[in-house]
Amino acid sequence: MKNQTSSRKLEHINLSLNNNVQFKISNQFENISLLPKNSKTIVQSEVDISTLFLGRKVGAPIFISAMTGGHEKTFQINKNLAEAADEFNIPMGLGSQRAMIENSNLAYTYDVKKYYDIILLGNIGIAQLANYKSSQIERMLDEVHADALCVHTNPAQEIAQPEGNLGFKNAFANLKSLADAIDYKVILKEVGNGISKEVAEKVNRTKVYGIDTGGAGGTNWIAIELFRNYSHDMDFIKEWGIPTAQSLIEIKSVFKRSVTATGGIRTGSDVVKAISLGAESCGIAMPMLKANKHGSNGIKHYIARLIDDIKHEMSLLNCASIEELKSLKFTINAPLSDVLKQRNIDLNHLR
Amino acid sequence: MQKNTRLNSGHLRQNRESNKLINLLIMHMNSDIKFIHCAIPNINFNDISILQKMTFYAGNSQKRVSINCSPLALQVSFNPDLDNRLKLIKLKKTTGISLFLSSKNTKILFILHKNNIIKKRLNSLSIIKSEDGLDAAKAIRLKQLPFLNDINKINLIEKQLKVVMFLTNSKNITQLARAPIIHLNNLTK
Repeated sequence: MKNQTSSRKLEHINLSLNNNVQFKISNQFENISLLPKNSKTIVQSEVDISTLFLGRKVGAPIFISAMTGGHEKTFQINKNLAEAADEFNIPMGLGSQRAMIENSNLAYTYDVKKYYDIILLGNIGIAQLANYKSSQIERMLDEVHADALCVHTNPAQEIAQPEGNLGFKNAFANLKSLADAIDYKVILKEVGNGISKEVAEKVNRTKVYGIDTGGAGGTNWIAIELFRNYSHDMDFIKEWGIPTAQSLIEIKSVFKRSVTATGGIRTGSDVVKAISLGAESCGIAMPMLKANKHGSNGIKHYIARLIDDIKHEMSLLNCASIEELKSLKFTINAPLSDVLKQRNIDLNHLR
Repeated sequence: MQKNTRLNSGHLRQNRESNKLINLLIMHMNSDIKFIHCAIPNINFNDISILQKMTFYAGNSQKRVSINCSPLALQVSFNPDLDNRLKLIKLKKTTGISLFLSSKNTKILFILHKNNIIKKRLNSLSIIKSEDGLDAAKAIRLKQLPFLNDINKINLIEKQLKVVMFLTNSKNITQLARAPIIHLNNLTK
């Protein structure tokens, strides 16, 4: 089991990089239109995109979303990502730390704060909470000096995974108990199939600090697992999930604490739309991993271009700051507007 | 107009009376839906049951009977009447299927109950050919009957049906029939 966890990490990286594992469905942000602020024209150099994340000032409303760790070859990836995060003062997420609980020798693959002082998000799967005490989870976070914990939920990925864990009966109760027990802020995240208002409503009744959409439209973990699955029995759910924009709006309509948007965020336009809809920040994963082909410089180059794109979009909207962006008027176009109507989403409570 | 109204209200009365029976006829599936993903299902996959409770009136005595059976119907090339009762019994033993349709006559549903065959006329509900578990789940959610004609696909489709139930947090068919959905045909193109 221990070696299986570790080797699976490497398989995931290789499959992601060497195959087309993106969703065919879009993140639905193309159905959001922002109305420029009625003020003087802003030039790009005047735009300040610094903001707060977990109560701390960061350089941009983006973060490196959870990806990897737990195999010796993932250490350098994490170190490169952390170097880039440090350069731009943006947060970074770790991949599932289950591997280091199973094998303490692998802890170093996650220990990037040894080198860079960044906001670091720890990670564990919701299906694993039944196996570990809250004190073990806290020790896991202490060891890497994490600033918060992301608990990822991934029933669709587990279904498609040959060795998937399908025991979710107490998953929500375990999440609630963990949030009650540990001193760290807990963030619930999906891995690419989105979170609905029904789930967000339940989370609202716990001490969970935040929700990350983990919506459909970007990397498709079902597709990744199907490459590892010798049968094609699960091909029929390949496009399963809630697109990121829909998920963000559904969550924001009922959950009043921190919400971040991840899942197919690829452009400055996606970022400004998500922030305007109420996301605190946007997580990006696959493009960062691909940029790592050229090491930390490749990742830095990617982030610099994205920040430039965000500032460009904000200048077109006459927004000089993230606060101004958050107060922009927006319209939601069909078919997303029709979907939200069917879902009885109250758009008056988004912000 | 009046004549049509009488016919319509008669049709409605018939539907209300046979509300708990399965009334089926073949229709092209003109209503597509998308299930809403549940990120934290409250169930273990192995605890999911696809058995559906069906209640109908049997025989001339109009005695009400209930069976728990797979929600899938199997379409067979022979006439599933009393002459082929043993064939149906054998099929049920090997596949677990209790509902049968004939490819030659699609207006009658044959229900195998305690080794007896009960016929029900298909009236207003659609039967939908299901290529996979998602088709079957959609049919059930839309109060339609999923059927297939390949005996070798039964296990797979039932397993796939359980997958959809897991991802919609549906522990049983009753919950699946109420799972949150979006009607895709109602979306502006």
